[in-house]
Amino acid sequence: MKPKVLPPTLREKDRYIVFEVISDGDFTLEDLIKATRISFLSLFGELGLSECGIRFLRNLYDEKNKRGVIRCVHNKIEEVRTALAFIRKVNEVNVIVRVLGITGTVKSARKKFLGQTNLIGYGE
Amino acid sequence: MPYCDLRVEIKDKKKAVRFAKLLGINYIGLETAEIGERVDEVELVKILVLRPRSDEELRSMIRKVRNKVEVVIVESDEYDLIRLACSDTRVDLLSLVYPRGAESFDHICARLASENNVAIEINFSFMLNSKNRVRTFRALRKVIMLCEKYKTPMIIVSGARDEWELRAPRDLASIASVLGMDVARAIEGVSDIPFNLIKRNREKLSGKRIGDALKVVEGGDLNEA
Repeated sequence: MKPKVLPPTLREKDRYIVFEVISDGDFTLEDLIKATRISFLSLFGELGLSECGIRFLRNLYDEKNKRGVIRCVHNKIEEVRTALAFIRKVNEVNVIVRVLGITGTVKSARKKFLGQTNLIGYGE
Repeated sequence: MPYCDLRVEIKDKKKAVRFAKLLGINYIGLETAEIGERVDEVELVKILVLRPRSDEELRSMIRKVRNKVEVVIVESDEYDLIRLACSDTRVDLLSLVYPRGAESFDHICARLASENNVAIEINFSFMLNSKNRVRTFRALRKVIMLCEKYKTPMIIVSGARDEWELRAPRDLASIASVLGMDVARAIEGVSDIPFNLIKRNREKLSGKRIGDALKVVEGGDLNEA
């Protein structure tokens, strides 16, 4: 038997942080994830990282514009922003990670910040 | 309300302006700026960082530069100088060199700074380049706690030495909030508080304001009053 999905009232409330990376070179998403992890661990430790529940939404990462979305718990947004601000280099490339905005759903993150105004077929 | 970064130490003005525009900063404080300068939709604020070695030197430095720059910043890690700067209304911003300066800051300094409207600087670059970040964060937490208690204004700055140390003002506010500052107050620290400081000092320099209380209004009718 499979475990049941938790009802909405018992689930953790998520927020989606849309970010943009300003850089002077190229890097992969894997490098960025690694740099974020290192920054977060050095600032808040393993316990802090586990509380934040960070997850990069890989399918939404735009390599051309270097924009992406991070999912985290709703009351740990400031911590995630801080960890992103402390990233200086990704794979020896100078970077500034800038938060564009925070949304409550992936749909509004796509609409507001990723320029995907036409959401026909969304969620299919 | 516009976003401000009152202390940027980038030597290349063009680079500073380009990155400030990218990050959504409306006002940047540069030592190389001219009074009231505006480049590419970014307002430049002329700042001066004073690093005095004695009480006398601090007083004479302030006397000399007060009417020549828009924002006067005093940077020190010695208790006597920090306390003197807190009690001088001509000082706009007090920069505590981390971690020693922040450790020297006590409740008396916080109360004096609050009474004399001297803002305390929270510098991101000092945190980023600190050799002992644990000690720096600990000292900063104490400074923020004291400033919150005595309602001392706090201004969060990037203190960037190169363009890659600049950060978006809202992200700087997040760092301060993680260190114990109220989020609303942290956002004020990158917008309302520095903006009002620049506005007030520009009015003073142009002769539209005398001291902190008197404002010169042109075209008013005394009989109406």
